[in-house]
Amino acid sequence: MSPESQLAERVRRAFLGSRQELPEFTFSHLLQEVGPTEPDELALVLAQLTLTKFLEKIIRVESPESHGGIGDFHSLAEIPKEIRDWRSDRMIEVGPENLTVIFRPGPGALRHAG
Amino acid sequence: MQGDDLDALRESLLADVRRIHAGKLKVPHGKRLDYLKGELAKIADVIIRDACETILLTTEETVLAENLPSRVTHDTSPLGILREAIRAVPAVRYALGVAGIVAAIAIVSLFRIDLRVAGFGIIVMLVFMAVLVLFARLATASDRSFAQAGRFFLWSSLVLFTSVAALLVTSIFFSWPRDLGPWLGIVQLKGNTEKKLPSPQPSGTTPSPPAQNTRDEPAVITADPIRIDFATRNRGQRSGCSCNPDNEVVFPNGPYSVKANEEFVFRYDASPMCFGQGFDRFQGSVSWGASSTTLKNNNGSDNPGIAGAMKVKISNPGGYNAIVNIVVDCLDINCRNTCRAKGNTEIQVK
Repeated sequence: MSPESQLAERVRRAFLGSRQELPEFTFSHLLQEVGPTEPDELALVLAQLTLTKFLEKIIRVESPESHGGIGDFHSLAEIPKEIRDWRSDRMIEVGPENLTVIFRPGPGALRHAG
Repeated sequence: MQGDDLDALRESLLADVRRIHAGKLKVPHGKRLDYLKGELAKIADVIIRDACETILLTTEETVLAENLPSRVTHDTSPLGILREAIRAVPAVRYALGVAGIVAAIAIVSLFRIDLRVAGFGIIVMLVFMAVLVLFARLATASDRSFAQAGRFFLWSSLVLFTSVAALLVTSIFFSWPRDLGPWLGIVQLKGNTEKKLPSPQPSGTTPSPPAQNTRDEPAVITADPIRIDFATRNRGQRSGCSCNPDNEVVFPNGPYSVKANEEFVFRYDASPMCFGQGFDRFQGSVSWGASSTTLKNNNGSDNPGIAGAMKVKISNPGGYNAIVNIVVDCLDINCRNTCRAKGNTEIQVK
């Protein structure tokens, strides 16, 4: 088994072995969970797993004040320039610092688990 | 992905991440999202584009971008080889743990701590590491039997920890079940005041020079018991265990007129208090004012008993009152009686 396959397997195990019903991991969390690995290598493996629908990638817009999620999008292109922060009840200009990448099991993983 | 393909993908990804990240820093803050969208759209390979987006949008993107390897090569340094080995065989990661322990030993040696202490510390640390691993596993345990065992261990540890913490508090503040005050350098002084000793003192002696002494509070620097160097008042034995009405502590060479910081011999004598009979349960003290010296029975040791001598040094000039209190059980065959003796003398310190 190649190191990439081993890494992909560790990512799969992280999602399937989680006790949460619908586990969500940020990229940083996954780095810790499946490490040791390089960020670029993990990012490539995650991209492949997203392409094969094992994972679903979400770009979450977070409130600049409470850091709670205020909107989920599937790609950067979908994200509007401005969005209403319902947590603080005001419009905010979205910047890269308000975005967090989240991975959760996609249809492929749910089939595997089921 | 084959090895060569992966290396090529990584090279390409890293180049894109660096290029976009560097460009982003030159773009005004409000236009960075549009810049990212535009630059990512230019990447044709969907996998590289997706991976690039993930890295650039990660909160610690700056750190990540700066820490990304400049090129995909095989690092031949010991740490690089270890990293490669871990990537190939994840179990090798424990070697990194061993290296960490060795590094910890090196750090400890820099602290100039005894390596035996460090060695014992590492053993304790390993035990706690095992506990941490157990807790970490418990958090994600899906195996029910393991989860139950872990939960039992968790609660046991919690009870043990809180019990020990509570007993430590009562031991330090209430001297129960063990008196840990002296261990921490806290001693009980007369008048229920507690002060910290500046340095180790002779056994049984608890002088406590305050930082700022008043003239009413002599700072007794030393009060070391010495062998009795005078003829006591004891004039033979009388049967029984009654207390001698002559229960005054006298001071053969008192009252004292001494110089500050100059050692003098302090002598006291309560030897007739049991009519020359034996005694036990000895309790005695000399109060110097703010501090006191505990007296001990003179059985075989150099410490004074119902009569004794001590080398004393007082740091502050002034007129002081030294009070000696002694309580013993006077003994005879099938007979025991608690007797007390008390006396005081003046000490003039110039």
